[in-house]
Amino acid sequence: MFTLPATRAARARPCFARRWRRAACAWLLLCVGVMAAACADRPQTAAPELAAPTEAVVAEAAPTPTPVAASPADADRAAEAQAAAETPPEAEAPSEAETDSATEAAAPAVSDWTQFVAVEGDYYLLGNPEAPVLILDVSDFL
Amino acid sequence: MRVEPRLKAEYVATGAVRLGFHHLLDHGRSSEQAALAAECAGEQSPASFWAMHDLLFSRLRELSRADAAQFTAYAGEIGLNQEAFGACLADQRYGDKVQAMDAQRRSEWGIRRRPSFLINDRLYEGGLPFEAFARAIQDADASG
Repeated sequence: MFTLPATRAARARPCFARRWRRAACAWLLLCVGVMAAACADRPQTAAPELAAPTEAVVAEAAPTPTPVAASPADADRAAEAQAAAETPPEAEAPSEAETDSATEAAAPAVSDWTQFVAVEGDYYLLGNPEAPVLILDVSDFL
Repeated sequence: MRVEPRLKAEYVATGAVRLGFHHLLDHGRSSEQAALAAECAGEQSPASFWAMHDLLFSRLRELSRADAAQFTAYAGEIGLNQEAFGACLADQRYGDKVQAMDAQRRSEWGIRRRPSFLINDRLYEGGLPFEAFARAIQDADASG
């Protein structure tokens, strides 16, 4: 009966464990990313005192941080995401290189810039801060 | 009909365009009250400015006879703190700001028609069809 040489078998076990750890870490980071994206996609309303936790989540979901407020539901999701991010995984902590590559893979692209708002001078601005075109609507609500 | 919803969907949502709003007060007290309502919403959070902005445009027919109580009810609809909103409205907290914006369109830009649009600092007076916006956005993007 064919058996792996002892040295190869010894290498195979840590290899399998490393793969399992990488998969577990990637899955955890993907979950955090998905929750962050879900928070960023929700319509923003009221409750300025809750803005801080949501900003942190939005910053994770998108390359450009944006000052937005959040609803209480957003705050709950942000808290869950924060808790998930802070909870150590059951598997051994991954190496720094593993974490970086997994984070890049899990970072979602911004799918809707209408959720990004900011104040610049006297103006409330909606959309991508890096957008090449700014339209200022000079208008009356009536 | 305003083309803004389509602009938002096709250009703002995709990150190609950023949108701002500059108040005009062409209908006196009613215009000012509506502008103040948007600013007082923005005081609670920047996103709330846009929520109120969208709500006000959707209630266009009610605005000419809307009073403080009506605007406060609108604030409730979008989940704002109505007490703080009502106080802001009663204080006319942003009265100077919206008046200054209205004056600026005449003194600096010479705008006589509404709506008007500044697209990367180029002025377009009067309402534009979506296709005109698309061309203007292309031009602005191309000229950097």
